[in-house]
Parts: sequence; structure tokens; C-alpha cells
Amino acid sequence: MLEIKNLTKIYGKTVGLSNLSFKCDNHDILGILGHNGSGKTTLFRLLLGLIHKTEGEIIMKEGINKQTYFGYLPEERSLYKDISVEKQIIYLSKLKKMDKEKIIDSMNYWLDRFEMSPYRKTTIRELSKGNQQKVQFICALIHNPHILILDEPLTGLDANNVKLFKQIMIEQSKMGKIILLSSHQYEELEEFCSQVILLKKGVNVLSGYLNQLKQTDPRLCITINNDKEMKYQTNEHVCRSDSMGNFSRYILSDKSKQFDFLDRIDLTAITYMKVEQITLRDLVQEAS
Amino acid sequence: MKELIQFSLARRYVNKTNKIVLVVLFVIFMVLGFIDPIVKFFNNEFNEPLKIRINVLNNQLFMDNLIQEISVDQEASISIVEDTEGFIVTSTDALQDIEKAMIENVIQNYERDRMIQEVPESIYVFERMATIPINYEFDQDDIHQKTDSLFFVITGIYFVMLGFAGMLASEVVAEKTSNILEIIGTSVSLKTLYYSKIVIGWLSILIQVSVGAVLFIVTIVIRNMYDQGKGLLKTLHDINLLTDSFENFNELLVSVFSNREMILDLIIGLIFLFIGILFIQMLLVLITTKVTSIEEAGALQNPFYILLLIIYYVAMLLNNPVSMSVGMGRWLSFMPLFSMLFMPARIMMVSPPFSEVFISLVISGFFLVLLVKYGENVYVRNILNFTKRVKKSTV
Repeated sequence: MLEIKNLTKIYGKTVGLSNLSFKCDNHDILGILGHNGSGKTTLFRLLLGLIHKTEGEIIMKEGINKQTYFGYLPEERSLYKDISVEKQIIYLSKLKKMDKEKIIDSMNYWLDRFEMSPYRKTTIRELSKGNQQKVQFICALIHNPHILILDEPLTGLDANNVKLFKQIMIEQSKMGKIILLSSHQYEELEEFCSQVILLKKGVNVLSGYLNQLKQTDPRLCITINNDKEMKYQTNEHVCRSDSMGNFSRYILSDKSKQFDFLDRIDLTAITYMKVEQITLRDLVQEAS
Repeated sequence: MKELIQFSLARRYVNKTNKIVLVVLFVIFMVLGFIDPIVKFFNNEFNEPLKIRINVLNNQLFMDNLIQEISVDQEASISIVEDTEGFIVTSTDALQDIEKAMIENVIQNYERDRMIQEVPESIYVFERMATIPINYEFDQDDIHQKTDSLFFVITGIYFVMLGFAGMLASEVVAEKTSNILEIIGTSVSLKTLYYSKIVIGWLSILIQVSVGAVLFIVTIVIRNMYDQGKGLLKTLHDINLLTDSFENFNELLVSVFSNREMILDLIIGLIFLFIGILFIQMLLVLITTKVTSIEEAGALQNPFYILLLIIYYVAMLLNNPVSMSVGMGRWLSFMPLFSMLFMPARIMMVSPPFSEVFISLVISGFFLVLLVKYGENVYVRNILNFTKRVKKSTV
């Protein structure tokens, strides 16, 4: 369990985070969203104890060892460039007070899992960005932490690796762990985040369980093709429309009006149609 | 903390570059250990007889009395002139004691033989022998000869100090710029990290000194097998780095270990040096915690190096017995940072009272402890300073 109450961080005259509150239970995956400088990394650093809070409370399970309770993947590459993957992992694991045998077992497991075994003797400098990110992820996971804090974990990854990272995050969540992550890839987050918080200049502007947010939102999205001219944007039920090349995306202000809208569409002209709930990206765009 | 220290030391010493440095150091030690045959190989004039010009009453007799180490050359810079008052030895450079002794020996032998030729009564010869007046005239004064070795020591200390001081600061810069501290900081407290840095700094000095000592001993052992150090000891004596002459290393060691006062002076000097290095190391680490890029590190550290250079030049300037006993040199030997150069210099030059050495040591130690304690807050506050990165979100 992790609960944050009125957490505030002020750097001199600058607000890093203002009165943030949320609660995460085991299995929760919390997506922290927001533009650069919105306070995401500040929140992570406060949780990790890297910086001191100005006000507020961070409530965790009693009697935990904070040093092993968290696993952290920072946004920027935070590795010694001149040492091998193996040495890097062993060193950071030792700092987490793991014994050697456990380190070797766990390292072998995760290197295999991330398909990094052939690179164990390779120096970090020689690795691709994606593989460096994998090493960072292994370092965050190796001591089996209860809370995983992942700052932009999907940045610089190809589609296969994004899939792998997501798969591992879901597995960790199923094991009862809490995952806090930030990302700009909203479509990716949407697939596996249970909760979201949107920060704007350190202030929480949108938060809640994603399903709930989507279900309670009265709007609906309809995407069709062969509609370069966006013929239906003036429809009275459309509150927003976006052109995506040959596709047009219409957001209806009321779900119940979808059939009225569909009745007016020339179905003979289109070959593709997608009707969906409001997306995370839409929610973020609205709120920010 | 153990892991932090082990990792840092391993990173520092177990690498290819360090192996190369060790080889280079060994070569330097060997070159210094065999400096006399090397110089002789490249410069045949080294160890050649001392060349003199003569203008005496009986040239042939003087030549007959020459020893193997002296030869006559009318182009020589050393001139011996005999006049009614006695002998005048002139030289463009100051003569070493051994050179003076050889010249005096030749003059005495020549004078004795000349007297025997002229006045055969032995008693007169002996009277005359006891009173041969020899005046030395040098273009360059030899007043600095006694402080030559001190100059070597101070310069040595200064460069050792600079080398050690920068080492730890470089590590801090590397950690700050690689963001690795963000990860390490989640596993160990910043306070632990700070104290591990201090221990790493101290251990590094000890390791490097130990490596130097091992290389030195190996060189001495090899040289001992070559000629028991005879040639090297003679060279060191000839260039005034050894005041007494020794036939072999064994003789030197016996002499060194029988001189307890010198050993004590050396140990005290090293303690001052050690405290001085730690002091500078700490200051540089604390300055470096403010740095966010390698470029900034240079800009911040350079003024500090200039300060060290100023201390060095002041030490050189005040490198005389008067200043070291009653002048500014004495007072600076009590000041932290300055004392690491000035107190060893005073100990070597004027043997200050033990109470003064002790007080200076206590002052240095006290300020070092103070700096370590104060530094803890500075380090923890600055090492993970993320303020610059969140400036975008202003109220």
C-alpha cells in the first residue's frame, strides 16, 4: 500500500509539486502524466527520498526497508558507461544488500528474460539505447522490490521491447506489486494502467481509475476513413474533430446520440469505422 | 559503505590504464635508480675528472701531484692561482664539498713537495702545511646549497598534493554528470556516500603511497644486486642530495636507522602532508558538488589550483632560516593548509620546538575534522541538487 497526502515540494520560489494526494493498493499500476516540468520526476524523487518534501505525508507499510522497498528506473541514463552489464548489475544489487548467490540467480533470470545474456560482458557504452534501458530496468527489478518507480520506461524502445516491458510490468502487477510510471506514450499506458494522475505545473488536474474516468465520461469517439474533407464536423453532436490523413475522428458530446450521428453518415463511402470510449489522450488533452 | 569503497577502488585501480601507469612508474623508478650509468652512457663527461686551470710557481710539480679525479685543462672553469699569500681558487659555479676536498688535497701535496725541494727541514714543512691559505672565489654564491634538498622536498610535496587532491573530485564530477547518484541514492543514504568518499580518498593515498614504496624497494633491490648502490649513492652525494657519502645501501640504511631524530622528522612531515592532502581533497570535493557539468568543474577548480600555486610560491619565497624561525614562515606553519608545506620545511631547516609542531598538528587536525563535519551538510545538500531541472514550472 502507498498513500500520499497533500505532498508539496517547493524549490525556492518554484513549485515542484502542490498538494498531491493519491492512494495505491497492491496490483495497481499508476500512470503519472504531464508535460515536461509538470512535477512527475519530482514526485518520484520525493518518494525515493532523493529530495526532501516541503509538506505532506508519504504513508507506506510500517517497518519496511526503504532502500529495498523501491525499484527505480530514472528518466536519464544513470549507468557507469565504462563497465560491463554484469558488473553494473552486481554492483547496484550489492548496494541493495543482496547476497552474491541471489544476485547471480536473479541476474541470470532477468538477463535471459530481457534477451540480454549475450551482452553480459559488454560495456554499457557499447549497448544500444534500448539495451541500456533494459539494463536499467533489470537494476530496478533485481532485488524484487514492492514498489516499482519507472520514469519514462518506454522511451527509446522499439515495438518489440515496448511489448516486452509492458508484459513484465503486467506480470509484476499480478504479483501484487505497485507500479508508478510516467510516459508520454498514452496509447501504451492506456493498455495496462489502472489509475492515472495528470499533473500540470505540479498540480493534480485529473486523477482516478482509468476505467471509471472513461465510463463516467459522456463522450464517445467515432473514427471513419475516406473522409479527408471532414464532412461531419458540423454535426450538432460533434464536440471535437481531428483529421488523420484519410481518416477523421469525431468526438460526440453524448454517447446516447451515436445512432443519430451514424444515421447521417454515408456508409457507402466508408470501409472502416471504429467506435470507442474516450481515450486517455483525449482526457489528457482536455484537462491540460 | 563497504561495497561503495570496494567498487570505487576497483574502478580506480583495476583497469588497463592503471596497469600502464604502473609500468610507466616502474620505468621511472628504474631510470632514477640507474641514473648514473644512464647519464654516463649518454654523456661521457659525467664522472670524468674535474678539470682545472693552473697558474702556480712550479707547474710540473703540481701536475705530478694530480690525483686521478683531477686533470688540467686550460679551458676549465676552475682556476687555481698561486701567489705570495697562498692559493686562490676561482670558479664560475659553487664547488661541492668533495671537489673542494680533492683540490685541497692536490694543493697540499704540491705545497709539501715544493717545500721539501726548497727547504728540506721537515719541521718547517709541517708548519707550513698546517697553514696553507686557500681562498675560494665563486661567481655564484653557494648559500642555497644547504636548502637544495629542501627545495626538492617542497616541490615534491606540492606535486604529490596536487595529484591526490584532484583524484576524488574527478570521481564526484563523473558521478554527477552520469546521473549514477540518482540510482545509488536510492540504495544508500547520501551521508553514507559522503563518508565513503572520504574513506576512498584516504585509502587511495595509502594505496598509491604503498605502490610507490613497493616500486622503490624493488628498484633498490635490483640496484643492490647490480653494485650494492655504490654508483647511485656517489651520484646522490655529488649532487648534494646526500650530505654524507656511503659505500653501499647497507651502510646508508644503518646510518638512517641510527638517526632516530631524522626518522621522527620525516614521519611528522608526512603526517602534515597527509593532513594537508586530506584537507585539499575535502575542499575540492565540496566545491565539485556544486558542479553540474565537466566544463563547470574546470571553471570551479581552477581558482583553487591557483591558490595552491600561490601557497607553493610563498613557501619558496620564505624558504630561508630567518623567515622559518621568526618571520612569516613561522606563522604560516600554524595555519591549516599552509602548514602542510611550511611545518615540514621548518622541521627540516630550523628544528622548531616540539610544542610548536604539536600545536600546529592539533590546529590542522581540528580544522580537518571541522571541514569533514561541515562538509557533510554541504555534500548532502548539493550532490543531488535538481533545482535547475524544474525551473519550467513556476507559480
